[in-house]
Amino acid sequence: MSGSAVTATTIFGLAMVATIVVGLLSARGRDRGLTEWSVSGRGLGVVFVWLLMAGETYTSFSFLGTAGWAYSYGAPILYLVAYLTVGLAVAYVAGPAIWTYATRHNLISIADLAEHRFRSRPVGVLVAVVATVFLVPYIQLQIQGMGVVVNAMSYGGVDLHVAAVVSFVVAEAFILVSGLRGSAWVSALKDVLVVFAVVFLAVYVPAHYIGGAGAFLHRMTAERPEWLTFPGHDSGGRGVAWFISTVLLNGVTIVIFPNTVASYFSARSANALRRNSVLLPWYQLLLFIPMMVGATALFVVPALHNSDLALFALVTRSLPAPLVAVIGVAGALSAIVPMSVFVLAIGTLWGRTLLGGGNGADPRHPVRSGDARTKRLSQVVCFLAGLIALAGSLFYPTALVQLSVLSYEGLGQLVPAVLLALFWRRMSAAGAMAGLVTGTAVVLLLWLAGHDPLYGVNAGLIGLAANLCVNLAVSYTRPVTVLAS
Amino acid sequence: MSQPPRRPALWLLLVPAVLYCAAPLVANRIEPRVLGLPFLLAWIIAVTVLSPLVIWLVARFDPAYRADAEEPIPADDRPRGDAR
Repeated sequence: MSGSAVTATTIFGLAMVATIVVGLLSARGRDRGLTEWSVSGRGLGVVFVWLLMAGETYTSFSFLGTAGWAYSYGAPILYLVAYLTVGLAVAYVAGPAIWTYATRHNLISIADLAEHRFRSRPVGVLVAVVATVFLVPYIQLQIQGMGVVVNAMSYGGVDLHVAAVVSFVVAEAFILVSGLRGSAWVSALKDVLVVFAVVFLAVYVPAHYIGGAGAFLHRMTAERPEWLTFPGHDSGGRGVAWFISTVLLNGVTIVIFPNTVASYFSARSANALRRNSVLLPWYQLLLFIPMMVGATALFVVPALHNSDLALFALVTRSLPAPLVAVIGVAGALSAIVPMSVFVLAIGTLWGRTLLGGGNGADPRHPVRSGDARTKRLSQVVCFLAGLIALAGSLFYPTALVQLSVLSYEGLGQLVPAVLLALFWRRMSAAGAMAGLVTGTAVVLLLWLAGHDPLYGVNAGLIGLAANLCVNLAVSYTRPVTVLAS
Repeated sequence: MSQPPRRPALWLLLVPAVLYCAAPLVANRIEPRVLGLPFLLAWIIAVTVLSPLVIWLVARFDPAYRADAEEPIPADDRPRGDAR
């Protein structure tokens, strides 16, 4: 290992120890019950909810994929900022709605919520299974993203696989002990580093490589105009229809992502969530910076074989090792924080609804699973979900990640059963299930047949349309009996 | 049961989606440049700055926000004090 590699690796190691310590400390003096572990006792105020949700927004994709898309496609990457902001507008209503329902009935996951709303355990089970199928690949993506970041920041000194194992150990260590509060605390540490790293890059990268932001923009428009409008450069059909359909689909889907919902549940009041919708969009402005850095890389390293490395190629090329390490730690925590909430969310999906016997709302399964048992089962699944994703990233690095492309499209199919069901009284359990199965099948078939996007339209939105039609048809031909009582 | 207060301001929440989705239709060009930024990028950044202000306006005019009230849930048949 070179001197720089030793310095960067040491800083990284210390940062990981600090992360575990902060994560573990967050649980001090708290009770050990299920509600505290899974949803922080529903006691987080505006600041911590903001930190949690900001933490989930800025994932390892922000450092790798955002710069990478800007580098290889250009304009299509703007969909990221667009759907995150649209999602926060949707969340102004959806967040408090989900929070209100869950708080009244003491629910801990979207499957739990669907089971209660429809008084039907099968609906809850189906929601839990679909959510898990589309979330585990997303965890794997974070683990592999962490591997790439750590490998790059240590100048190749830390092996990809070692980094993957480290991310798993760190995330599981604090999430198993401290639960969601641990993620919120680690997220505070992470956000400080991310803001520092990103603001620094915004000033430094164009100044160092191109001679300032003005010169950068001038060269972009003069030499790479194709990157600056839709459909971008060589983006495989990511044009107008793709942008609009993806922004709409992802914008409504992100509000029911199991990890987003975990943050909703943790809020102390409905207004903590409404305020968050006002405050969090400002944070999206930070996402323009990795885009700019990725575009700058076009002029500095025009022939990268892995575009995901666009940002780190520039960083390691010119900065001293300690600074590289700090930016790398920000990138690593951007994988660890979302990952910890993802595994927690999968744990709670299974702990009560699938393994614990349900929440007792279904008349056919009237016994509510005990809290202590639910917590134990959730922790076991929380660990196993991480382990499966880790194994996937070590042994099948491409298989599951392909599926992660589908995460939003698949999870989008849960929107009717989890969110619309709160507003639409007549939706029946049969309608919700038929719609969910149809929508998911449409997405998978279109994807397998290579028709995603179909005529430029995101397959997830087509699936959602089919989902809603079937749901409507079934709900009206076989009306609900439970809600009428 | 009294009717929950009307919340017409919530319609404003559609503004970000409309403006973003309009971007590739009406702003898909480089000229005119705004402060040196290509027009499409300037549009997206402007919408991103505008959106939280719009959501803030919504909150200001929303009776539920002003009262820190729960969200009304039309499909909740056992609204209160029922843990099951």
